[in-house]
Amino acid sequence: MLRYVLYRLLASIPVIIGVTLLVFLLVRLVPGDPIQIMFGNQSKPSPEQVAKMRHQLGLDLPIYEQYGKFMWDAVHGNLGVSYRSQQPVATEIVQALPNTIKLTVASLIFAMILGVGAGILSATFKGSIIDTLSMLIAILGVSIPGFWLGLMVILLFAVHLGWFPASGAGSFKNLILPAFTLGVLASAILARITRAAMLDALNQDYVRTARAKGVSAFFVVVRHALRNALIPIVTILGLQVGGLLSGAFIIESVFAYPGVGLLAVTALQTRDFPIIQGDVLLVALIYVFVNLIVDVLYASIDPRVSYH
Amino acid sequence: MVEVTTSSVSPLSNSPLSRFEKNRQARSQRQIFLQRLRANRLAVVGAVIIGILIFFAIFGPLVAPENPIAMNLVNQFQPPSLAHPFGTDDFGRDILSRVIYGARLSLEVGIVAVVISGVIGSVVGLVAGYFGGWVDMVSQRIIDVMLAFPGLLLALAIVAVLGPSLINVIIAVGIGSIPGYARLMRGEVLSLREKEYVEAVRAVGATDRRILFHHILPNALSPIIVLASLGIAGAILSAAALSFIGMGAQPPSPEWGAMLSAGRQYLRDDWWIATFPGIAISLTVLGFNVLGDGLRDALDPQGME
Repeated sequence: MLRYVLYRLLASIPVIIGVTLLVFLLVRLVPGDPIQIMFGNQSKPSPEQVAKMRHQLGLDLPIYEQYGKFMWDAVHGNLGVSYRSQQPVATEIVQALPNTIKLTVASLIFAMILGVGAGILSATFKGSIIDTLSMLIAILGVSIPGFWLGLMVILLFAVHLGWFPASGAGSFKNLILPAFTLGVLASAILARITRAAMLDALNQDYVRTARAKGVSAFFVVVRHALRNALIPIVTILGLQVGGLLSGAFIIESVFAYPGVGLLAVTALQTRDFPIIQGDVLLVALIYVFVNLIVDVLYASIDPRVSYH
Repeated sequence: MVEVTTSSVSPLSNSPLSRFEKNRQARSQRQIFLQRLRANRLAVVGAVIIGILIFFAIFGPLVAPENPIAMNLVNQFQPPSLAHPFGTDDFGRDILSRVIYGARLSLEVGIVAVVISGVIGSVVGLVAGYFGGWVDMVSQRIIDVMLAFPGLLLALAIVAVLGPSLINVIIAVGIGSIPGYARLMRGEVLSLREKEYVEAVRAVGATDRRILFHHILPNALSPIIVLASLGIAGAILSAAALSFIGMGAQPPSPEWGAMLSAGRQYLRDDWWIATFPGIAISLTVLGFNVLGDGLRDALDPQGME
């Protein structure tokens, strides 16, 4: 088990390096002179100013040295300075990150309760109206655009019913609507997978054995089938968190929720590349980390997995 | 299509045909597939929806009641009515017409993005799976890195670099989806190249190229097509999301995501501006999703159920 953890850790390293390289290259590929973009709409800078800026940012260095500088700075917490606010990128991200984490966790909880619950119910009562209805809603959930659901949720719960605020952050109430929106979207996929996994597990011999032994239906469902159905669910848990993380970008924008997603979207619209770079990098690294944890979790609950 | 079987789930199983006669009626794989697909009611609904979409994409200009970009400031913010079934927007434009014209854009986006990712991804997967070696190793590392970006993030970064426009969104979404097809194709090729008929054909002296294109590719195509149908759905959603945050289609283009973005500020009093494009996106994506599911079930009914 420990060997597996170490192996996964080591395997992550080339991926992490690849991610930083990709982000670095992408931002360097932006057409146009970065100095010009920095000065934006202000008066045209003089050649001396341009040269000075270029040297300050290290843009006159060869590309691999720039990458080295980029990595060195990043490891020391320096991700550059925002074009727009002149604040350090790292500061802005660190301020916004806790909000996004709160949102992601809340959404995940919503999604698991709703999705896994619906999936179990569907599987247990397969073929019934509960099953058909759940799966229909699940397919719909996978098809509707998240930002539209968010807008409709705002329309209903904030504008018409006035139960929750439509935007902002700060209190628990601000978290509910965006987390619900994201959670519903994620629960759709979870419901389908849970149902399939449960059906698969319920058909196995050990379930029939348990039933024959006289174990009550409830125990059969929860202890035997669910435990084993959990394995494929955990498998896609990483993907789910990834979906929540990337979905947060759009949903935070809809609800004006001050997390890293809103930060990135605003930066996109204002062409604020240091922020975009730092944000994308951070979220990708978080995702790599989450997948690592999920893989370890998966290895620990599935006794069939060993160092492969 | 090498393996031909008789389906034991044949719709004619109630008939009094003897087993001998049933074997003689060995239906081609294609017929079995079509029968199963047609029996799946949800998939048929999906196909109908897509048919309607294609109809609007082709005949939109003839069917739409009004010009989708002509501004008519006298007519601003009209709620849904007989004259304007979906209401009018902030520039007085008929939303029904804009939604109809948007169908063409959405279809274009979905198809082109999937073609980009499908073709590039399949070629990469084909080559990597068949030839192995360092080509395989290098491409798999690159794919791992691309997959390290969750969901929309890679497409977001690409469109940040390229700048806001619908074409750039298509390219970004297309590139972002390459790993899925590459992995799938590679897996298929890996399993197919060990099969006996490949060995047989190779023993007769077929070149690698012939084996690849004539024998392996056709059999690997089915799951790719399923992925493509689901991929069109995903591409439309992603493109709409990117347009929603302003990185895609620019005004006055009647792209559905952009329409939603514009309608957002009027949500309180003029809810219809944001509602109907959203319904259009949902139905379209639903259609492709359901069709994709149907295709998958029709090709391999021994799924998890």
